[in-house]
Amino acid sequence: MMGIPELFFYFFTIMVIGIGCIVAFSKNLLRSAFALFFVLFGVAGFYVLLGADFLAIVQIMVYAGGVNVLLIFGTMLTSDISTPKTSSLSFQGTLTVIAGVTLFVLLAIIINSGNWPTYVPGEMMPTTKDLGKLLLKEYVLPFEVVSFLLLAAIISAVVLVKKGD
Amino acid sequence: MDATLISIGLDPLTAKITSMVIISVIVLLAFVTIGGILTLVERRISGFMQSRLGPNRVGPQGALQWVADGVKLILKEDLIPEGADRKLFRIAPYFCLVGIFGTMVVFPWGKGVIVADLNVGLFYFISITALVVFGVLMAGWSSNNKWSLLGGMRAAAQIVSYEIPVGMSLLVPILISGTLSMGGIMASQGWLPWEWMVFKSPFAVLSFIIFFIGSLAEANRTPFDLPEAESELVSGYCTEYSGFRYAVFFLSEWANLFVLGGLTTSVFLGGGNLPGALEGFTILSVLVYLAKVAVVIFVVIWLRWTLPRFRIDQLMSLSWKYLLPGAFIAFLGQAAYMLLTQHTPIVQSIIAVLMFLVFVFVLIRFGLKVRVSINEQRIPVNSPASNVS
Repeated sequence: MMGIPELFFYFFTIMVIGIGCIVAFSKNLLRSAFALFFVLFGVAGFYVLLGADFLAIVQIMVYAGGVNVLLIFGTMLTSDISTPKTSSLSFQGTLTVIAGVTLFVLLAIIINSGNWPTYVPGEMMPTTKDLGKLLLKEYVLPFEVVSFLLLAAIISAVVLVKKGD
Repeated sequence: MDATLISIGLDPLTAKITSMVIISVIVLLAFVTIGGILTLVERRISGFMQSRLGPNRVGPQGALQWVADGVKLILKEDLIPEGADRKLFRIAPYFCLVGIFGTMVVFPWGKGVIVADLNVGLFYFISITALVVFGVLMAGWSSNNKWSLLGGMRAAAQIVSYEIPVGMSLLVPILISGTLSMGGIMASQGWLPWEWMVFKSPFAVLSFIIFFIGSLAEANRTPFDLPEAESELVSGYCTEYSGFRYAVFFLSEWANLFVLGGLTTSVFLGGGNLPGALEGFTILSVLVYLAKVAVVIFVVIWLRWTLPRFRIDQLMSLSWKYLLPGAFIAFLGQAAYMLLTQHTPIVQSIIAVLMFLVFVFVLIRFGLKVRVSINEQRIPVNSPASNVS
């Protein structure tokens, strides 16, 4: 007997893999960018199924609502996007193959070696409080380092724009 | 609901899915009706403000005009322009609709009347509207039209930039109530005006102002309706749309107005809270809530027919140079305020009552001024006086 979580799991899996193929193989760059949205959305669905509600919303807000919109925005400003010279299926060199295979092997090793919790909660528990405590107590140094990195990125972007004047 | 369906002989899974579908249909119907009625309300109010009649022929006082409009739009031919990206053109309106409809999941219609009180409800509310940006961008690009493209890009730039001050300003209510769930935020307020979130501290007022301006911009309302500025861009991203797809855009725009009013009410204006003696009257709570939403919607419509449109650079500098720093100040200030007054709740209440009194004073002064201008400038509709110039 399949429950609702299982149904949704298969739904999201098919969505992420199927639409991921469109992202990778579509000849139209902009359609790939639009399709990426569904992939990101499906990943958010996985987070919900794992009980990480806050993470799921962050995924939608930051990746689907922010990064992907900016990506499309940038694509729209590119000239001649509808007629690419080469399909994204074309062979792009030995180094790319090596990089891809290495990444895949690395991910497979990590996924197989780690002792991942497979517990699926029946009821959604609030995760925000614990996340906040962890971020601001235990992991405050990495958190601050990351925010410092972002600050540096913002300042350098402003400097680059200012130089253009 | 599940239990009722199981008792009439359905297995749990089917019962669960059926009840989900039924609730969705009810909410969708409410959503469509509200969106339709609001188009009429806006046109009537704008008619009143401009000394003209507005739609008043279909039904009593034009009350059925929105049904007639809907039928007309559905019967019209659904044109797709030559050279458009047909697939994207077809699905774009539904992104806008789903983005707005999705917020209905966490919409607190009153005390205890909520489809799903998520633990991260407020956050969900502001992130699911990302779908609207998406639909607008898609419509703008797939129309293969300069005006549409410009409208879509303006909309994306505007909504993405205003999302940041809106999100930051909502941190203040989250700080005060200590929860992200819509029901929890509503429960942390009282029914008296000085128990509302907006009067809880001076910084809450600041965050309310920033939130309100920012969400006007996110809902593409005048003075921030640059994505469909008709004097510059024909009608922006929906230029090429006709028939049912145009109706969907239209509907989601006006439903967005309701969503704006609803979020403002439930987070800042006390939601559907009732006095302790009346606790438990759910229908009364819903009515109180809807009345507050109606007031907010009236203010938004009023702003639309009063203020001129911004320029795009003014729009961007308002967001990044004024609203965003303001939201940071509100957040830090609120944190400091809570630290200073956490052991003296009496001081907090006194400040809240004082702020409410100041607000009433400002409102009365403003009302007197408005009354003078209404009395002096009112021209009877369709009277000979209106032809004198």
